[in-house]
Amino acid sequence: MNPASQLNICVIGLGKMGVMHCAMSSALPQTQLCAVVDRDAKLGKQLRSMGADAPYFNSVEAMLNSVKRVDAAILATPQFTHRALGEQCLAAGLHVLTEKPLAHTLADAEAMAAAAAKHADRITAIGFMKGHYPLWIEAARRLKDGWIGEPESFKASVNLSQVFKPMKGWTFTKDQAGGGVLINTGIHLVHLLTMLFGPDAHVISAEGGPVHSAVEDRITAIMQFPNGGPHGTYSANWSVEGFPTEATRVDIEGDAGRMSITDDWLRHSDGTALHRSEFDRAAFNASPDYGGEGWYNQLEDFAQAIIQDGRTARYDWQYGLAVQRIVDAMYRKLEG
Amino acid sequence: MNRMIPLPKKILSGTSLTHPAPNNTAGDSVSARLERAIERGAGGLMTLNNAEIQQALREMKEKHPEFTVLPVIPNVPEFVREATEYGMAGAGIRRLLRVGFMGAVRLGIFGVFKAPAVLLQRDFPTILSVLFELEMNEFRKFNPPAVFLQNQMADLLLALNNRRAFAMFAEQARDRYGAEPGVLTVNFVRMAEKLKEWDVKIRLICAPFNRDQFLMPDIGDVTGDESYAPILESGKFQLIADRISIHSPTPDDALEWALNSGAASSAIVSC
Repeated sequence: MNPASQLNICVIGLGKMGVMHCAMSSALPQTQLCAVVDRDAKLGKQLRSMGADAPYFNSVEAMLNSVKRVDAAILATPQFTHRALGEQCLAAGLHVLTEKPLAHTLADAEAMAAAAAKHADRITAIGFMKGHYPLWIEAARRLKDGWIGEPESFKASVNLSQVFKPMKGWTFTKDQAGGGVLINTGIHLVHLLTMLFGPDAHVISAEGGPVHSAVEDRITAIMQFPNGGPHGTYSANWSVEGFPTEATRVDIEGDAGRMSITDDWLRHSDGTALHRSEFDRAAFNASPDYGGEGWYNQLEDFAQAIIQDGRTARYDWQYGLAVQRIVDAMYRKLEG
Repeated sequence: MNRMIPLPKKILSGTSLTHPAPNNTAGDSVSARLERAIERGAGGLMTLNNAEIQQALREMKEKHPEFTVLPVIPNVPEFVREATEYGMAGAGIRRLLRVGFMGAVRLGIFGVFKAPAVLLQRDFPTILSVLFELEMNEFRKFNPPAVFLQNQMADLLLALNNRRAFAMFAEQARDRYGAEPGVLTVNFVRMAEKLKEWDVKIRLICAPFNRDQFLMPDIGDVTGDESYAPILESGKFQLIADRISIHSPTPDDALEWALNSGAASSAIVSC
């Protein structure tokens, strides 16, 4: 693609997620990395040594003052900074893709959704990359088309081997991250459930808490989706052995059959088994075990929404707020 | 540059040893599974640095001296977990601290790579080099004929167009260990084209090759397997077929298909 017709993307926040977004922005034909921003200049230097060919700035203001053309920003900073940076980018006229969760608190998430509504000509998107896996999209489509009849109940889980001792860093603090496994990792599964059953859910109960860290390391909740939707259990645990990478599974019982979904397989109780190989077609994959196809498709969706007038991103900030409301309800049940 | 690097035809995936297929409920030890895989014809193991696997390899070294060990470096899943807490440079420094001062001196890390000063300067190819030394220390006793750059790392550096990291990796493998450098990737065509363009001498590429076209995306109107053909016909690369089946354990017919295709010299199997 001609560089002049590519979208100029800046990545804000150069931790490991920022590095991933820089790589994706470099790999996607529709985009080019035009600037990187982080308060820590050493991270800018490190990123350059990884091969990123874009100027570094220590603030969004400095970047906006220096770079002639920036079309969009990707926010990969800690979630407690999302609101201020997101609002700043929107006010500067940028389209914004922010990493999940939308914010560390529901109040900030609501403010961000309001800001997005105010700047309705700008595209917003949230990094629910699992929702860009073609297999999960296919599962949602088949469920909607009555593959198992009316869904009646579900059992959803996500497991990861990550936390086995007290942990350092903002990720493991309530005041900066907003919580533990649920808001940092399990939010992807909450999002997948909304893809399958709709964006509203009533949280009936939740239990869990810290095991090793200062935030919840495991959580189990009972949920009910409204308007005749299914009820079921949700669990997230990042302190369980045997899962070097995140393992997600949803089993759904319908009135005409059962289906189960993982990141690799979609199965029906009649014996039908569909593998992701039937749907995965991304031109570049950063890692099939860490959501590679999802990263690429997510950025491609964001870029296409910007390029095509009248289209929103598949998961915008309003959607991000809906998911955050469910997460917040789980925390309130957990604390209550 | 058409020479074939001799490697076993059937190479066991280390990941499948530590995280066996869900239907493998026997609960056997890593040693027992490794022994069984060798009985079934596996001539080598491609693996990340893992304590259980290292122990199993030490136990069977005398019994199977011809068994080939192919290290995959660095251990990205472990590195990513540590980087969540300490950042990438911090994760590297913690690895260094675990080896200790004398260990680092013995490995030549201070002399050759000037660590930890370079880690603090956050030069990524050098961080990678230090990780390489730290992890190869665990593998050197097996005299690996080849060493592979881990796929997430390789594909990230590929996306970021980092010729220098690949070149340093290749040089380090050859000069310090006498091993052939290789890369794991799920972007075979792009990787091969870039290595050729950069003139980086890495001949071994371990990449998806299967009948389902899994992780072999079409390029324009060209199907995944068709896009492999001209690259392999050039003779510049040697393909080790990875992810040869969407099923685990690997079915025999998938192995036969991969090895009889004429495209791959070896294939990775899971047990």
